[in-house]
Amino acid sequence: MPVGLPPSLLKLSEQLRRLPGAGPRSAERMALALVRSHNAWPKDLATAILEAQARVKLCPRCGFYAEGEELCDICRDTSRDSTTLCVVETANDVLPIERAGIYRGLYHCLGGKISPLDGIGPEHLRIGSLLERVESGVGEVIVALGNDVEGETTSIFLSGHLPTHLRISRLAQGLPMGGSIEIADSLTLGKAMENRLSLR
Amino acid sequence: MQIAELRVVGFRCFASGSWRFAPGVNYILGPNGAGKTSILEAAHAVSRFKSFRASNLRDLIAKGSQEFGVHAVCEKSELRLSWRAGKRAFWVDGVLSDHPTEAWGLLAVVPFTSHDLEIVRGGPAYKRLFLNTLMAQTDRDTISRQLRYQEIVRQRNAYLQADPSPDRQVFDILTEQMIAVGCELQKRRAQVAGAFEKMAARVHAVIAGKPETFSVTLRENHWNADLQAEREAGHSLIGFQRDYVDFAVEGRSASRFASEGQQRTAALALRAAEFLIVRSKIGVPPVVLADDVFGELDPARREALLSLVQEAGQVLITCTKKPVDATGDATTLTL
Repeated sequence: MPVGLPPSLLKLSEQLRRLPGAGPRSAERMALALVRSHNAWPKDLATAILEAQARVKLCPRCGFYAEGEELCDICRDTSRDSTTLCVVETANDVLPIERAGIYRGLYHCLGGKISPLDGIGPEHLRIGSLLERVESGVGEVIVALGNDVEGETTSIFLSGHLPTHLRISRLAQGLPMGGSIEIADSLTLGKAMENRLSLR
Repeated sequence: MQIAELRVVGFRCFASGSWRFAPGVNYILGPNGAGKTSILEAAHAVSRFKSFRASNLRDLIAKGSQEFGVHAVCEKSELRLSWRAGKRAFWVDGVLSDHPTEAWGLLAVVPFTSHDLEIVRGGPAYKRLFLNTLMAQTDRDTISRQLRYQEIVRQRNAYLQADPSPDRQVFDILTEQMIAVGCELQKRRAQVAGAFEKMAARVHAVIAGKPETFSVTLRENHWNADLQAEREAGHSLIGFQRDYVDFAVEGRSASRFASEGQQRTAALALRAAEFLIVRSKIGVPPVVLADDVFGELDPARREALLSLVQEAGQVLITCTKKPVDATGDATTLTL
């Protein structure tokens, strides 16, 4: 516990500590920066937080972040390939794929993974709306769930429910780019060997 | 394999401590309660992320401390384990390890402690754990598979306990995954058990000083999933986590029929076999952590055991006083 901080500062620091990635030290620094700033920035920050919280919703079609009741930017972008759907666990998973900049299709966020331990079954996920979406002109579904037990279970479940005429694939598992064989762990290396690609 | 230096903070009876070890035999001397065993425990924890006498890392925290740290300077690398606020963290050469499975067992150790008797006397669970650990030491690939398997079983058991019963397909999918990973592990453990039986039988006869047989009984569990029966039981009835394992001396269960002396011999034999198997697998002798066990042995058995591990690299032995027949070049550390 930091010694000598006034109670309101302590309270602020404790709130900031709940942010992902914030430890006790960094939360304290953030709190101090906020209370010592002489301009309107803390107030702007507070307004921005409240506004974003009130306005940001999940896209009614794909489940990615959207403003108000509208479709998200990705769903509204007519230049994107609407015949391909990439299935991800949460809205957050869209961001790294978008940053990679190689995917031009649409997304479908399930809102979780099947996990009996957490009481999450297929009925709690956005699987019904996925099955509806693939009925309208979708030709390929890319399942991009993690390869933990929950991700694997969900992937197998989806492959059993998606119509058979669809092309269904999952992300490959193997060596990271720039990774040398020497440092790869055995399970990853095993997967890379199993999923090896033809050279010619 | 060698530990040059071991440092601890907030560990067992030590607020902090640091010890240097020489190659070869190191005697750790001191009165009862001085913390001799805790030093061996620290070396064991930094290797296998657990103690040989406590089931939980939390139990290793010194009284009044919130966290503990163990730092081992080895020949090729520096390993550090910390436990803090319920979380375990591991560093290899100062770099935080993302995959603890990759760091597990980097420092190879084999403990010889009075707790080894529990493996001989205890039920199949103790013996399974012993074989699974030996499998992880000799076939590193199985470490992540074992963790994966545990995770699948956890999910499947949660499914079996859920009320009302969730989607049947989830049960089938989890069963399928459990069988895929479990059968592979079962196959590999059968190999490990076979190699272990051969080695332990040889070692047991040497330590016993007479042609007494040692054997391993392994009865593999079935894989016929039965949703109704398993729901009633509230946990998975299939699977390799329920394989029956027993050790036998002279063809009879060591836990039920062996004499006290036979059990002690078997306990030493299984660790000596572990030492020899791991040494041949990794090419260098693992560090032997001997907690007072050599002291309890009669001279003949001690001689036999020492001859088996004579090509041991580093040995850390705790005892209340240095044995009279200790070799002259042994290093002594007094607490």
